[in-house]
Amino acid sequence: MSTIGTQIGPSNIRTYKAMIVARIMGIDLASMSSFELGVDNKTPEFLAKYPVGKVPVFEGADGFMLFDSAAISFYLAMQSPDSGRLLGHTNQERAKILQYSFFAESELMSAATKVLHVFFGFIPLVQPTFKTAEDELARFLGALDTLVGEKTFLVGDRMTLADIDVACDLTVIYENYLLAEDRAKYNNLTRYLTDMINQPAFKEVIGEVVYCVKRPEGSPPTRH
Amino acid sequence: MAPIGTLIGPTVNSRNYKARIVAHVLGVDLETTPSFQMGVDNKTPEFLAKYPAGKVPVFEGADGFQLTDSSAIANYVASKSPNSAQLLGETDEERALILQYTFFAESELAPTVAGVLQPLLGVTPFIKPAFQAVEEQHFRFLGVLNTILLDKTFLVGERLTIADIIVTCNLTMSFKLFLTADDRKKYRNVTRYFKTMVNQPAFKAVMGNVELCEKRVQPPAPAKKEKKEKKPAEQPKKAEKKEKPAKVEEEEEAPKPKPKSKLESLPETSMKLDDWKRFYSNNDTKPDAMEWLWKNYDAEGYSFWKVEYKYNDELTKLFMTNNLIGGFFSRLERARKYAFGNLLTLGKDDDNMIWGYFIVRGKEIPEEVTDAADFESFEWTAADHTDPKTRAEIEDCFAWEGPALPRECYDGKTFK
Repeated sequence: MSTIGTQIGPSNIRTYKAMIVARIMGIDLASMSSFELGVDNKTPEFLAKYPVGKVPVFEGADGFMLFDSAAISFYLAMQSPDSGRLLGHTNQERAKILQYSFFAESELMSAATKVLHVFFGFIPLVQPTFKTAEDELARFLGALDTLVGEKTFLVGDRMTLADIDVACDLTVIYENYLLAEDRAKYNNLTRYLTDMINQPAFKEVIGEVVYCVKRPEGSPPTRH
Repeated sequence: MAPIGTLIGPTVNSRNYKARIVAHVLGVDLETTPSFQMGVDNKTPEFLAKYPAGKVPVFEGADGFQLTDSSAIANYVASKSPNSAQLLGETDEERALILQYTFFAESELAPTVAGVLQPLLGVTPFIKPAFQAVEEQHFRFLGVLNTILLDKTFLVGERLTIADIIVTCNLTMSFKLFLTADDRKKYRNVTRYFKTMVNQPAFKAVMGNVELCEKRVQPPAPAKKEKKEKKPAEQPKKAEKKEKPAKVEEEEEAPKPKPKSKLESLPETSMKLDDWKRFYSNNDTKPDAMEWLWKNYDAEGYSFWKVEYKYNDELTKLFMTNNLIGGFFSRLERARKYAFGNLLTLGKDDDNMIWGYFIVRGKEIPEEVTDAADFESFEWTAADHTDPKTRAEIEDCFAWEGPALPRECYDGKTFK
């Protein structure tokens, strides 16, 4: 099978999503061997095609252009004759998968970014704002912990795109932010994520995930 | 056709509009909850058991199917129509582009709209560098949309899709409260697009007329600083339209787990605060609820406090003052179990005050209250409910009307 197109962007959780989908569905997705963030996505040619300037983006072998990691992974899944497996077989499954994907992308990630970007030094630490973001993130993790409960997968009895989206987003939070004592607060969620990252498709794309032992330098102190 | 289910949440809210516009376009019968009380109905144990994130809107199908997230609900409602492809796309490429814009609207655009408006409306503290960063991002995304819309009437293909419905709804609050005429000129393609959309019959039927912002909402006066000199009493009469109280549209949040309170070790009380709250909510305040309170009030287990804002002379628009109360209450979340109160917005635009009364468990102001970020902006004075004048004030305060109020009541909020 010839390649369906190229995913353009650096190697990170956002590119992993489509790569995991491609791996599960047996789709040939090319990737860029080298990509310089902040350079390759700021060229006039890149911005003319993808005005948001964010990565990853997708360029199909047929010229079709798409941005947003979640949208790209949905599109890839659609290309398989077996798409229902990841995208859901019924309207209700499809809706639930969207629900979790929107939650992961808009609530969870927006809160996580506000916290992690302070750790990474991208934005200055402004205390009340940071505290609000931390509280918000904790609340969303708590809600997910409840939702996951005893479940192995978020929707139905098998892995769907919702699991890929949510688990990839959680990975960055677990790698950089949640210490062992924090993880203990989200037992269901931690168990769920650990299951996910040990699935063959995840392992092959992401490799070994190491949960946070020490937060990045310059991190604000933990409040207890 | 029987309704497919109920969209649960406040009806005047751009997140709520999405599914209803979809239903209108596709002729799907969808029930709504016009009497929904934000912060109350989405905080009940029953609600949170079903929808742990505590956010609205949620959807409950006639078949019991439960769904959260405004955009997921809008997609599901569309999928119930035989003509779903009209809004959801005919091809994989259309479907993917629709998702692309939906994710953009939800994960990029919406957080910046909330990030700009919440501090301006007093829901979150206004911190200048944080505000400027999010404002810059908001403009950047508008710039991106402006480029994308240069030669487009609709985002995907040549007709209305759910992407247009979701993007337009997520832009609405910015166009209403933030983007001035100058901004709209700068992002003229976005403005043209937005106006075209909200004038489509389905949008009009659901949202009514959308009035574009005339004057940007200004940040509330900083609370903890030296008082400024009093403004000259003679203020030029503002020609602007009467502003409706702006509702902040971030989906409401669930309470976080509460640490054990010192108040739990107080001696038992004969009055359960929950009983009072329930009686207050379900009966006329005067005379029924107040008679109940005076009959059941346990002066050993509770105390009354008069609460006044310290910086009344810095308040401007009435609706912003009322939002400031809402913001304070949301930061009092930890005290929900131990306190009840009413804070009222009294007066008129550019000349108003916050005034009210609280009942709290115990004889002191508990840590659950003093811990709120803006506690210091309010004066809490112990009140003697046996004093007839104080008692009259409490009664009128809880009723939001009456001769004992220091000024005319514009609006208020109940902390319960």
